Amino acid sequence: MKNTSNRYLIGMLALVCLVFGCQKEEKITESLLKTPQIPENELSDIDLTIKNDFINPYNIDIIYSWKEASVDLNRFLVPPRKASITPALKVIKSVWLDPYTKIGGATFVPNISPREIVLIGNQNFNRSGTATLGIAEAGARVTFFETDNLDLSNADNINRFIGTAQHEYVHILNQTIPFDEQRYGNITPSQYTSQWFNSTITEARELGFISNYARLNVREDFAEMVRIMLSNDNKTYNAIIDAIPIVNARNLIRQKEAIVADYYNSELGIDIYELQAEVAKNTLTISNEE
Amino acid sequence: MRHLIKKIVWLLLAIYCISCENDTNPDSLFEKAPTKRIESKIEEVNTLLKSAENGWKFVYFPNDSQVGGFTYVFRFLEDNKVEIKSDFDDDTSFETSSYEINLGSTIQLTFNERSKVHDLASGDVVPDDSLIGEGYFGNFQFLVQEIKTDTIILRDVRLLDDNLVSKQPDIKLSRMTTEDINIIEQNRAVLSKLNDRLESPDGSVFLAFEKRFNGANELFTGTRFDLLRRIILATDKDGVNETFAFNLTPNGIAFNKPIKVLNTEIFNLDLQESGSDLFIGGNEADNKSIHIAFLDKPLILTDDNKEMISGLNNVYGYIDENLNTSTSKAFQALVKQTNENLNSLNFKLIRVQFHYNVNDPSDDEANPNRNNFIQYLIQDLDDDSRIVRIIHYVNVDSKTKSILKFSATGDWGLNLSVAPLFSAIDDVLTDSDGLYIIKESYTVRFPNTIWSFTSVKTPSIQVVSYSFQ
Repeated sequence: MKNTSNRYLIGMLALVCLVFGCQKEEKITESLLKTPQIPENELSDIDLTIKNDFINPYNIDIIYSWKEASVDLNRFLVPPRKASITPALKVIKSVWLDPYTKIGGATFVPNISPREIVLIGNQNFNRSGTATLGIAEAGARVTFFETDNLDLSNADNINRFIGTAQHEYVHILNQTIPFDEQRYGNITPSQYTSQWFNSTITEARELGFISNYARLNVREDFAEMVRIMLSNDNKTYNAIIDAIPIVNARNLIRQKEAIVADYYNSELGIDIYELQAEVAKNTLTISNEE
Repeated sequence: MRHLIKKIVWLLLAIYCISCENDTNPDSLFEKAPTKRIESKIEEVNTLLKSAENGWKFVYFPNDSQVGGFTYVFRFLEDNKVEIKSDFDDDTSFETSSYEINLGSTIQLTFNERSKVHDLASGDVVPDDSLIGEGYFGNFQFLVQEIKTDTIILRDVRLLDDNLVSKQPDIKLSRMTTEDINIIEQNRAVLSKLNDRLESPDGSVFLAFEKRFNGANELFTGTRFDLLRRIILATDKDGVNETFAFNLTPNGIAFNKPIKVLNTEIFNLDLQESGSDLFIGGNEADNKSIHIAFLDKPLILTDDNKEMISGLNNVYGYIDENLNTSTSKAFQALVKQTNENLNSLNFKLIRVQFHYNVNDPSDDEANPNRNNFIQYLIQDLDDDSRIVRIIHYVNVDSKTKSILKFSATGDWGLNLSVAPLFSAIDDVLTDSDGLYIIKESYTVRFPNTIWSFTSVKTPSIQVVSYSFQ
């Protein structure tokens, strides 16, 4: 009996300790980290455009405010001016994404597109004295430089700016569906060089390359072919080729063009000449509006 | 019962030892969690920035071995807006942009939308072509190092891992006083006056940078201003090239590092509106001062004139495309006048070349003086590939120290009829008093040595040339 009451007493004491012991517990509250969700009616015009024209239809975010993790801090780069952002968005949508969507179908761009586009205001110079117009990183991010130099009233200027995207997008397409590099590289196998900038565009064309940068390697050559095709209407593009005085050079470029057209047709389901016409039409529309 | 009490005591002791301590703040050093503390620090900086009625200012020297300092004024507003003005260029109005106080390696101030402050950080905004890609070496992201009521010490983020950081003074963001309100306009006014004095046709390209102390002095040779970079270049008595980085002030200029005159440190020089002195700084009563003054001839006369003409087939060329802005304003005016003359022929001047001791095929007994000539290269305005060379044969005399005299022979070869078109420049080059010749210590764009020709009669006229040897 004594033992029983002792056990009872000890048990009660333990229970009391348990009940009144560690019962102070902080409630879970909102995060200490500031991650403000801005209501849609408070978004700026620029942010609303990005949401409606890029995030919702294509799942592509546009970074225009300075974000140091998105840029090479060893270069002297700066964010774009506020006034430059809307024109850049207009060109990116109308001249790059909309034509691919129209010719390739509504799911084409969302399925194969970068997740992030970064706008940089100024030129990105290299040690060689050349300037990089744009870069694509692992297919996830495309960076546009010289956003502040975009002039919508000038079709050549629009083409120079968007040519970056056309070029870089080809790399993303190629990373998803490779082209026949060996066959393509055999057309002008001995003329590729890391010193491409020492030759002019005219000299490069006379060697069978559409641009001097195309001489860097096979992949850049392929992307440059697409860039030049999509930076000109078909008539102008043909005039560029026909103006090359060396017949063999013209033939070499036409062979490359055939591989490009075949890749777009068979691998992507896109008639590149229809795409070319759509890009040219939209470019003209923008430059005429200004 | 004794056993029971013992058991209870042991039990309570055990519970006491292992039970939870009623302490909701395990990190007893601080009352708030780290995230909260960072947020409140960010808020504190933000509130402080917005509290300045007249705004804040800083003088930013991004890389004092290459460029000088630039003054910026900021007015921080609600919604992360900021108004910015600077003495970087002629536009002294406020520009509205945005900023952010965020967390980098510590709290940092970032100007996240391009504005005037980005002029110093953009690789394509350059004082001259040699800095393409780097520009003024500046930044628009600054770590907040220290906070006081009227001062916030900033540090350039880019320089943290760079050896330049040791040379880089703190960037002091100071609360503006009522006296500072017009500082940007005042600084620009000083720059304008300085520019006028340096480029006056009545002035001189020769300057002396002089330390005076107790009746003695120490002189720097080859003193010249680069106003776009905001630096003074000079060579000390031991032949060491010095770069003095400065910023504009309402009265003159200020150096970011003091210049020592004996044991006195001098930061500020006052611009003189007239007279032979351009700047005076320090305390003359204390017998320690700095003077930058105009000279009518080089501080040190050398044998550079003889060196220039030694050897065979030496050529020196003024190339208008690369060297126009490196010549004096007075010479630029002569180029402009020459181009106006040439415009009637649809040509423009692209080069002036000096050829010495040339083995000219025409150098025969009938033409004994055709070893030296000044050559003017002109280019068709409609056809870049069409370049015509106009030659004026001269005799060269180097007897006077530092001076070359090109005496006009009147021999223009086949080009005599066009000679009057070049008289604005040619008359200066062939003036009987001659030209001071200096082998300069600086280069322009290319590594070629620069040689200058300065009119003895009118020392505000200076043309510079590349040595092609």
